[in-house]
Amino acid sequence: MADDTDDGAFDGSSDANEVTPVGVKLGSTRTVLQYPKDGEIETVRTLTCLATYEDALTGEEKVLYGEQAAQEFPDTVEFMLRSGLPEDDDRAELAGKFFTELVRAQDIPEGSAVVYAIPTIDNDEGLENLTEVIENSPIGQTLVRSFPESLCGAVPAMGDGLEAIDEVFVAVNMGSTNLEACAYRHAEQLEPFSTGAVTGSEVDRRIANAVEEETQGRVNIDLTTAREYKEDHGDFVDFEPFTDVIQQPGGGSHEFTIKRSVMEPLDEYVDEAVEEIANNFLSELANTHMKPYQIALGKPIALTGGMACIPGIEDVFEERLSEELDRDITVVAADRPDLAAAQGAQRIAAKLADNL
Amino acid sequence: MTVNPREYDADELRELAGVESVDEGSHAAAPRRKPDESIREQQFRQLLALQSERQQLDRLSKPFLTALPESTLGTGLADEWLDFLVHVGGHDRAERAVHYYRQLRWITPAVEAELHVSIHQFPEPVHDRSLTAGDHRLSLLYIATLASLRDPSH
Repeated sequence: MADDTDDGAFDGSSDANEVTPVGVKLGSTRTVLQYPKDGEIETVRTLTCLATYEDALTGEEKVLYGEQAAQEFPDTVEFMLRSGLPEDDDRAELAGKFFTELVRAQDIPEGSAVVYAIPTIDNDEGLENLTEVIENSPIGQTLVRSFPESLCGAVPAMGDGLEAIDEVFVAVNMGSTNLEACAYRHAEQLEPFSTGAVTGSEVDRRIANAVEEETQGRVNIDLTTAREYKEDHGDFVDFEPFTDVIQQPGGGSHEFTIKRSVMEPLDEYVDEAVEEIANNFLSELANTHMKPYQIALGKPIALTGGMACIPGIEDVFEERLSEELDRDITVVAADRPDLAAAQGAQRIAAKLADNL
Repeated sequence: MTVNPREYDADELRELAGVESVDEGSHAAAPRRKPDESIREQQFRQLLALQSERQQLDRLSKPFLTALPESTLGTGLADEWLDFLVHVGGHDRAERAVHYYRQLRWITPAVEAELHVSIHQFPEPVHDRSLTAGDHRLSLLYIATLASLRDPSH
């Protein structure tokens, strides 16, 4: 796995004692873990999915997770956090299995200090289920904390350490299943906002529909392929039409070129995100917290989440939000917005472990 | 145990980051509150201002603020205002803004001098920027609110 933390200012390790500080982002599409290993920060990034099958020889139930599960069992693989949290007992059980398999594979010590970056969704049952998953996980025996995903994600966007904690700023998390925004005043959350109406998953659905339309109904792609098109080809700076091939049901293959079907849904996404942030979140913030609003909008807005990885989205979002608000807005993102929440959580965990 | 991300301990985070507690540092005038409490506080202040404005409508003239109120609420509010100016623009811009307000005759030279002394109690921000018209409007609201808190007998 890639080591994505090479800044010397904050190595995230905790040498003073043996407690391993772990940052976890249990995302609806991807789960990211960060923890120190052999003096460096190890990053694990995997699809949040699980597939089970019966061993033909022993009859035992076997579990596969992540990319391997998605590739080998595309028909039965389960993304159990599709709505951001485990919605029912079955999904909670699957999430528990997934997380246990994942951390066991990394060999993370049980006596670790674990910080979870969690989306702020109003779903008490889902939170209860997630609590159960976390309580039953094999790690975090020493300490467990959870913080909003947007706050954790803003930590690496705002500096090399925990500078974000002492700032007044706005964070926007562009996730697969929700768009989350919050103003933070010296770590205190003001006006937390979340909507499931503008999401990365919706972009995938629109891409799938647009591909069908652009190819005059000749090509139907599933949502996983649509997500891959978005992640591999979506680019606000330098989009290039691309060609793909499908196998025809009756044999032979069909080659097609995609010109509009990726960027149009992405364009709409940015417009809708700007609309939600400007007219719902920020207007409410201005009404209720005039002073933090004035301060925060003069400072960089921290952009995080998987959707923030699309090249150039930071600048497009900045430009359109400035236009909508009729004032100059600056947007910053971490080097890897998809890893930022786990990275921020790991930095907090390292400090917590130091203080033990 | 709860994993609800909205229920984290902000004080613990500040301690981890090695930043001053809100009760002692730059944010002394505005202790940590839930959004609802903040809204109530704002409404309370605006009511006070409105009530005072009605009583003093015929006497409203420049300079708006001739002295800083001595009550706890008044000094807290003045500190909050200065914290805002310094947080946005840093010490130099905050000083220039206060001087500008005196030139506009929003405040008296005595108030300016008093504010100047207090500006350096607040730490320089990591990011700063020029003050905008919106910032000055907010300053005017602070001035109006501070004026409304003054004892009318003075």
